[in-house]
Amino acid sequence: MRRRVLTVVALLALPVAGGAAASGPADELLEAEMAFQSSARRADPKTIELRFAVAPGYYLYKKRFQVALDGRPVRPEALRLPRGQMKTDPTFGRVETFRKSVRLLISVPPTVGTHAVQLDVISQGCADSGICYPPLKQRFRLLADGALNDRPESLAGSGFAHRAPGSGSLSKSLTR
Amino acid sequence: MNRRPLLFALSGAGVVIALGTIAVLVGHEDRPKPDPHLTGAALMATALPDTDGRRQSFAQWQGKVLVLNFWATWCGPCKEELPMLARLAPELAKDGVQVIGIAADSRQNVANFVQKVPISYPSLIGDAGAIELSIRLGNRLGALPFTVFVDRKGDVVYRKVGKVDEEEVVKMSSIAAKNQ
Repeated sequence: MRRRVLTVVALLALPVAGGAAASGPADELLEAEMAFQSSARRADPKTIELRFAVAPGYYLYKKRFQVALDGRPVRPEALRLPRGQMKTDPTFGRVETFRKSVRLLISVPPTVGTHAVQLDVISQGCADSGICYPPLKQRFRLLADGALNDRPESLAGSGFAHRAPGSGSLSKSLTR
Repeated sequence: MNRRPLLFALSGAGVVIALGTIAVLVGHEDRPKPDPHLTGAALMATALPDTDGRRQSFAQWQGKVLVLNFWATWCGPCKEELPMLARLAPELAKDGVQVIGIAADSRQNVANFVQKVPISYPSLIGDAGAIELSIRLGNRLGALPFTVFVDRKGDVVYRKVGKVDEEEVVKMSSIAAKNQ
């Protein structure tokens, strides 16, 4: 009996040994949507501007951005991104990252400027505390007059679906 | 006013509460409680493909202590802890502890990665479904790396968001192994 009580006391004194105990920085971490706050607008009839405000202690990977316009993946040459900060990855070597903020300029066909469009964006980033977020997929709806939905929708899935151009849909077979 | 009876009553109540607390603690087994998110049976009913595309059921590891490490090739901190887990896994296996990697990534990405960094334990491909599984195991934000220690009954006894170190893995494996 005494031994069991001592064991109980010992377990209580051991923070990691509690029932399904948890550890790590999870409680202090921001939701991905808060760590990487995004917004979109029409910069001009041929350009859509996408902005990310990156919270202190967090960063986004340059090569992880993917954009689709009305369901069609945007070609890399139609995306303009600034030079990022170099970071050394244990496997991939030196990679470019963005801190504080980043602005993407997306070249669109002139006809896009005359009607409402749906912009799907995948971004992915990490925190300096030693964790990474899964790819964050968000959807913006830009109206013909340049207005847009106030906040992007977060979508399920890990990538853009390989669907017929113009279908405007994303795979929802996987969830984030 | 004589406060003695009141003090006596209060200290008596304190003793009763203290004894009651100890009784409750002793009444419960001195072991971690099962995790409420995912039952052991549900976990054992789960199957994921390996790097060769063959579906691997968790049921094959029933009765073992499991160390489930969720990772991805796009996650730098994940890749930093993999060599340690690969080195430790064969030693832990001698004590009935099975390390399993669950990649929130594509099979092709993982196959390319393990050519550079060999992994000595089963590596399962969950793609985005791995994130959902990790959330069901208590990973609130779906962040990686995420490591879960499961006892022989299939109950989660410890979880960690962020990198684990060698001492932590050995210690938590031992605690999970003692959890009967």
